Amino acid sequence: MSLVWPASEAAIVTNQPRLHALVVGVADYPHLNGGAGPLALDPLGLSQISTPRHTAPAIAGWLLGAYNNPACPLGSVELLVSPAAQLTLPKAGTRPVESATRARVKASFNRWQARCTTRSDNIAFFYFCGHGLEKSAQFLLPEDFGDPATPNRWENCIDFDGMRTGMRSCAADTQLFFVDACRETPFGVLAQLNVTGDPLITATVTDSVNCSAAYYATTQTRQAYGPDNGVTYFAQAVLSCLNGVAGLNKQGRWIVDTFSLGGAIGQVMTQLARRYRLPLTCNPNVSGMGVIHEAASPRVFAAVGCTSDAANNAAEIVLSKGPVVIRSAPGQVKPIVQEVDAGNWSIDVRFPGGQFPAQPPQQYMLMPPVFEGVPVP
Amino acid sequence: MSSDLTITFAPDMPAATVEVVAPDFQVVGRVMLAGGRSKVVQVPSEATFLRVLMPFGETVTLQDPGNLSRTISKETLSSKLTSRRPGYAEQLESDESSQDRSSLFDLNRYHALRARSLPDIPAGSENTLPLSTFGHARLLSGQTPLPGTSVSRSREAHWRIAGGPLQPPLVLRIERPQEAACEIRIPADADHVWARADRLRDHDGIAFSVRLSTTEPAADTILGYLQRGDLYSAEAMTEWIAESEELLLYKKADPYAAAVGAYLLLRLKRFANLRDWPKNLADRFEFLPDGCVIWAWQLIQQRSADTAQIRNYLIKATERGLPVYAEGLRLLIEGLRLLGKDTATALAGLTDRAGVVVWDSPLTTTIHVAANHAPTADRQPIVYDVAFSARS
Repeated sequence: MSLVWPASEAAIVTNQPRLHALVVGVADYPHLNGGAGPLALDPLGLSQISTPRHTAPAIAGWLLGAYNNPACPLGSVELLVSPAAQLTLPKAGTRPVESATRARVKASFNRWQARCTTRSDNIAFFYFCGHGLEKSAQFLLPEDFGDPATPNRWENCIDFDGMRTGMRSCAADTQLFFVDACRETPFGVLAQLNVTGDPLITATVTDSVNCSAAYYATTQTRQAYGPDNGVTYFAQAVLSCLNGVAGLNKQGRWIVDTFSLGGAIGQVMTQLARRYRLPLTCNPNVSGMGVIHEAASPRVFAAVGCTSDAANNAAEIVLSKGPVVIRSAPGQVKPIVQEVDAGNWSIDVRFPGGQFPAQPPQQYMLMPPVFEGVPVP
Repeated sequence: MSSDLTITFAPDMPAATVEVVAPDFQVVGRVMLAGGRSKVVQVPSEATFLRVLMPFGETVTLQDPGNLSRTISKETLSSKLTSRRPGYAEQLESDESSQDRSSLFDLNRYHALRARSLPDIPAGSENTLPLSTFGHARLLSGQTPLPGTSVSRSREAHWRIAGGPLQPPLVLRIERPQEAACEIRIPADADHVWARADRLRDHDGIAFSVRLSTTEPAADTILGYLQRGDLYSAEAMTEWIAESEELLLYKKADPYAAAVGAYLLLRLKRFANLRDWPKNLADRFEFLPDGCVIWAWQLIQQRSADTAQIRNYLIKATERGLPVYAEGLRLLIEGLRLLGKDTATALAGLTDRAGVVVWDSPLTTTIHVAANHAPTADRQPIVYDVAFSARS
């Protein structure tokens, strides 16, 4: 079963507003380069990736352990991860998780959609992490993509944009989609392909949805997708934002909504790109406002460095707030890019070698989502 | 005890959204300001501070406790912007502007600076301009290339455009020998377009970056916010739309800027503000597919039963060509999908014509290959980075 929480279908609450999630992570592609199965007739230059096996459980883990929305608590989590694994998750304990073949993605999708559509005040949450192809639409590749035994090479391919459009027929009025796809296929190859896929669901022009928000990672190389055996950069940004970086103070509650999340993910990705010197961007497509989550406290993605490489190399930078001290010595990587508590921080930029004039420590107000400084040498 | 805080933008300021933030970080107001304009906002404390969300993405926090009349100018901001580092401006005049930028982050900062110092275009300039050794660019009005100029030792191509907004959209074509070509729809209200090629030093790949400004900077600012997903800042700009949509449609006749305003209202589902403007945009400006898309989607969003009219306008949009704005292409494809078999042929034709779409561009950006293209030759990662420039 791909249902990791609650323990059974019968335990799922459908007569109250709930968030129902479908999380898919595909790291194992048997028919792509380096896979264990028969190679696809054209693997499109795609090979195995490691990050989804860490990313999908991290997203599911956040939903199970940290998601907080009193108006719409967690209702269910479907999780598929390739390769299939034994995973330990908050609330769910240790349990086997099935692999993300097209058939299983489709079956999970059908169950998820059926739950989501039970009420208009439900939230539908979809996260995909794995290979993708993007032409005039975004396509997602399940584990068995490229199986040479399948005469239609696009049979095991999911038409995400078609799916998002089709979800207009689902009653859930807040729909969240995260497309964390590694898009390695070169433009020249893509342009010659007539890609098609299964949208999994259809809608008509009379169907509507109040809030449909899609957040796309737009990285085009595996290097920019995520650190080997770690969580993708996009997922790192999403989780930071959900944890309070995208929080807005609304009567003392730190609310993350579809608008604030879109703006914050883009800013965090920009700072991650600066830190890791990678082409990381995000393409949010948000239509309509919906509340997602209430964070425990405001957090800030701080990026602190000097304004020139020479000064960065020579500087010792110290950020401090009460007992918390973050330090980067001369020669260490700058800018400091770190998620921290919001509030007043002291930032001290020193040049022990005397290469630049000393700067007195300055107080800065760090407010979500991102602080970028400092404007010294 | 609450007080009135007056915020004024000096005449040199670009249109931007200002957040008024209480000491507990609650945003008590979000207002759009442009050069020479003022707003009064009621604030809960004199310690309230301001955050200026610059059109090119940087946010500047201004703290001035006790001051209830704050004027914001370029000078106020320049010392706080990390992109305005000392000595950076000299790069444009030095050899450094002809060097490869190290990363997309660095490239964006470079373009923010370039927007403040655009070169003159001498008469008799070239029609086909090199982009370093990586390719070349042509700006086409129909089939006619417009003259531009090459700077930064042939790394950058610049065009000034004087055709006016009542012209059909232009197309910027970036071509690479033996490899895929990129086409970017350019609104005819653009007044300056430039393109640049860099081999990114920090990661393998080539970046083709394009920036443009139009005669309606507020529309450029809206598109910048939308591209970054900052809908709260974009939402604050609806006041500009309410003030200027009628002016843009009828007096200044800038259907491109009007379309940008309408796309934002559509995204925010502000149908009362849209009124019948989209229908006029669709019917009056036949060279612009976007008006038809916007009107069809207003009908869809308002749950019109007139499916025939929705279908007709979507089909009409496909007959006019690809929408100028990527938002329009996305909505056009989605609308045709929703109509099902009835529009399947039009959808297939549209997606075939679009080829590969660079969806993170605010303008419709598509990639095509020649029939004899050898796919194995094209393995180097390519980044197409398209954005509206910041007038800062």
